Amino acid sequence: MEKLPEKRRRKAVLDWLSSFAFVLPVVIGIAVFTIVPMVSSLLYSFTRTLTTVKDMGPWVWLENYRLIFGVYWKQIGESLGVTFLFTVISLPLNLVLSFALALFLAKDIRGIRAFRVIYYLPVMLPAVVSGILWSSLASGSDTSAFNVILTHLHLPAFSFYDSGDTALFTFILLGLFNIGGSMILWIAQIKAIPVSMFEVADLEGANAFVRLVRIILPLCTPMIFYNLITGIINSLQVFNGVVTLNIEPEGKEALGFIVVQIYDFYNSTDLSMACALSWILFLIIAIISALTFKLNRWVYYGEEV
Amino acid sequence: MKTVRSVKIAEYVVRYAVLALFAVLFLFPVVEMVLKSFMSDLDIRFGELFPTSWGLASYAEAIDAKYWWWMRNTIIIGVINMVGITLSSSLCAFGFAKLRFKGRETLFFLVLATLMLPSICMQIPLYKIYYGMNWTNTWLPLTVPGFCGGGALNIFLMRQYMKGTPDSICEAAKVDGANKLGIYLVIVLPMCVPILGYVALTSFLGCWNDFMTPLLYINRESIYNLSLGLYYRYVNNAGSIPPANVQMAAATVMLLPCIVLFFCFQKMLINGVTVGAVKG
Amino acid sequence: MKKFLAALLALLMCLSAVACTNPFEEEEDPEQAEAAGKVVIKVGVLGTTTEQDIFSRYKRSFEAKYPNISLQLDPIPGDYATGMNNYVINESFPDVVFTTGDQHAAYSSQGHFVDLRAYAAADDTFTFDDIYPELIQTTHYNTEDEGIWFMPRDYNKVITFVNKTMLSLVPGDNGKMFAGYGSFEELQANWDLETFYEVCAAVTKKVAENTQNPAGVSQEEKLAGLIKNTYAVDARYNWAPAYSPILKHYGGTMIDTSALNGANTDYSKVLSVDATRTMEAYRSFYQNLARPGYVKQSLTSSGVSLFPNSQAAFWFTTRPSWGEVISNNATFEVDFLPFPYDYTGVGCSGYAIPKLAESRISDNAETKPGTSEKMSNADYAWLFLKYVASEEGQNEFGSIGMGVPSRISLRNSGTWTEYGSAELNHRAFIEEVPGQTILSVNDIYCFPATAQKTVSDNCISIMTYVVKDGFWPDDLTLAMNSGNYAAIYGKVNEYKATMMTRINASL
Repeated sequence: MEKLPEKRRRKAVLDWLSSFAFVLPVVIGIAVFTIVPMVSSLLYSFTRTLTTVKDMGPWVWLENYRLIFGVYWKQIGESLGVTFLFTVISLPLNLVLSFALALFLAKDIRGIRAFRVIYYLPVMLPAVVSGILWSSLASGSDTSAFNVILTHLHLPAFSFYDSGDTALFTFILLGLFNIGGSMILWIAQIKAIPVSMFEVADLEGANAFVRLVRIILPLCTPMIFYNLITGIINSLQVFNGVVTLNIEPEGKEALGFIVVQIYDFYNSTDLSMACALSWILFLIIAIISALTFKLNRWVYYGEEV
Repeated sequence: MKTVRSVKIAEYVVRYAVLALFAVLFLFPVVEMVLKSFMSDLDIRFGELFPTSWGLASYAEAIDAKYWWWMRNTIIIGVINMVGITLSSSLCAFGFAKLRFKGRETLFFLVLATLMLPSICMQIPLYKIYYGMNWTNTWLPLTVPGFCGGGALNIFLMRQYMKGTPDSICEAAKVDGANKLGIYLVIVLPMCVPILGYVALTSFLGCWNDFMTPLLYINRESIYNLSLGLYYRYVNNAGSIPPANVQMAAATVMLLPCIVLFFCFQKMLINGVTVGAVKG
Repeated sequence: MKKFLAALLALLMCLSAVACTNPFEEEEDPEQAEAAGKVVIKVGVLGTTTEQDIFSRYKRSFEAKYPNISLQLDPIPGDYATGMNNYVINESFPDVVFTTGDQHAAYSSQGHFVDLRAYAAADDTFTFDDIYPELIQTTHYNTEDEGIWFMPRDYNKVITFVNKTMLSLVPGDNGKMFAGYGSFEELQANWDLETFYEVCAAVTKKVAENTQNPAGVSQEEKLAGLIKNTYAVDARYNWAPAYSPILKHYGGTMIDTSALNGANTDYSKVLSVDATRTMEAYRSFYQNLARPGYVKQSLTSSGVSLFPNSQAAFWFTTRPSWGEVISNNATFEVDFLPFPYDYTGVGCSGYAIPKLAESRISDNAETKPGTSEKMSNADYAWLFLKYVASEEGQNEFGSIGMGVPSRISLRNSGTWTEYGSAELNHRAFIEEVPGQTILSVNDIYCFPATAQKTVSDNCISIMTYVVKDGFWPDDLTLAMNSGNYAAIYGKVNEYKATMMTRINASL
């Protein structure tokens, strides 16, 4: 290869620098707020560091991981189990219901915008507000709003958040109030389907079911994929919704998701254990996301790709 | 003809009935929150669904001077972030969408990859970093990260939008001798007003709702944001927690700006959410 | 319309951002104070209104006494442990930090605080002799330790708060109010465990009647809280100082410090949550308080108190809780009676000097008398601690009513006895009840530091099951074993396993 003249090379470097300057903020951001903490978190997980002691503790290498898979396994395994259970139940439920709702709301009829706003409303609730709200509406006491309604309907009161047996169910159920978030995405995707496709389908006498299965669903696969990935990542990390609840300890124990456990270790001064556990969570999320990406052959990206 | 019409009418009736039914369901929590906020202590004790007597006493108790002060803090943090996130994410997105340079794709992949990291992994060690810089108990941990890229999702959305704008104008400007900053400022930004507005609005709302960051890095009552103030008052309070009507009054006032903003900018918000997802 | 609304919102937001004034005590600029030749001493104080009030009182009167010292507030957020951990991680301890008898050990045992005995020994103007000995006990971090790691500020014995307004509407079998005693004075004169249960029964009966027939309830009774969801006693059974003495009264204990045996300690014995005598104590607790419906069988994880909201006739708690009654704008009259059980808990809060303060020397520091050495911030902090324990400081503190002095000499006098009304039965806070033993509740510290939070959380969780009907058989006369009481044994064993895991992993 011929060596570039000095001037042109300088120009190329300058060009690169001036382009790179635009993305410099995010480079700094990732370095300072992501990579450095991730690495130090990994280092801490190989030590025995307490939050009540200022220095990094002695190196114990894999001891923390041995504890997690040893004596703590019953507790942590259970917590991982609850987290997976929550993800496996709530994610499909959310996807299906929000999709069904979107099908209903996609058609532009009079006043439809108002309905979309209403369905989106619970998504707008700040974390603290929804914590305060749900701990009050869905407590097991007979004066909580849900139980008052049940009583009016001559149904027995339900324990909702106040019992270990029903807390997870309640959490999943109330999580459904947030399907408006994915609903908005589905609507956009459905409305992006060219009208001509439906016209052709009508000409060929396709009924609603055929239209759904042959046109709408395949064309929505990118969105299914997007919602799936973000859904997995978010539900494996669920935390805010639990920590802002003021409910009976029994209910809170039943909602002992993995990030809650990590926070608990941190609060009991065991910094290194918290770091080790959060790295395990990171690996789990990375593996599941990678698998999902690997298996995305069913996603239809349109002809131009 | 007639039957087709009546079928159509029936379809509409069913559609609206179902819509209305679900609307009632979805409105219930928020409406109940507002109703409870107007109740008296006795109504709360009896578990009424509707106030037997309407009163503003709970508002008077919930919205005190501290509440206003926290709200002011939240607004200031929100506005700073709004500017910071919009500016830095549009800069980065411009870099990723319109400029060609070595390492661009790798870098962009890296940016997207950060979306998958569990935030708890970073939170604990970040505290030490902030402390080292003397940032704890200031608003810097809440505002500075916004200026450093403004979040992978925002960059992604902006980049998608910018990719959709015609390259030809930029090329023409380049031929005319405009530099990169000029193209960004004069040509690309004006074309991106909808997505800029979306990012600005969501970053403000994000700040309004933010809870984890202040929880970790702020422990001075006078610089709390509203979320943190309400959390220490109504959720994690070692003393006694005020009754539900006061809690609901505080929550209602906090929710109000979100609803007004959403109502006013509904179209922009909904379009914005879908930009990246539909086109990506 | 929309634009108008948006503009209106923006305008309102701008207005509120500009117009509102800072309601928080304006913190003096430390640099300014330094420049004015003062020594700045930072004091870490809990974020609660009461604690901050107390601090601003201290500040005013202490600074008047020592014009060259400026006390600066350094608030700890709602959760004490998190705030303290942050101090540790960041090495940012203030010069003085608030602590309590049952919370200091995690820090004092790790060497974060200075031992006050050295300061007292070097100072002939001060001795610990006038501080209640049971409080001095709580300043050690375990049973063997003899260090005095903080200065006790108050004497917080668990006693019984009484809602007089409510009781004045509760008739006894003889038709007289106050459950048949006619007046509070009469009730006080007859106060013992039996009387306590008797009044509980009367309140529960009255509330049940009113719940059955809500239409017939008079406005007066409604306002006094004699309606649905009111309980006889807010027993705070999710709080160790209240439940430990009751369990002890019934012969059980969750933590058996007598099983401690140095390096050979068998922690599964120390953690005696599942010992038969403890199980029997749970049963008595349930049988006497929960089954008859005297206590609420469910409590949320953080403290929603019934009593300040007029939802209970009695409240087992300590003096500082009075603040909650007052700040709740309670419309009922409060009075005090001793704790009715054979044991009661006592604890205290106070101030410690973090080790770091010893290495801080202000530019404005004076030299120690008789030497050329400059006074460190810890030396100045000691002046503040001495002031807190002095009669003057204790009276300043007593005047806002939220505590009982830690000085024995102020047992029957001082501002605290006049707070509210001198007519009230303030003696309940300090008087010795014949036959009652005082426990200092800090036995949690016999466990390794990283296990303490888990142990205390899980002990509380056990208590929340102990009071639930679903965990007990109908027949409570059955012999105590895991066959007859499978449900509660199951829960207790589950929690014990969790606690033991954490303890063993922490060793």
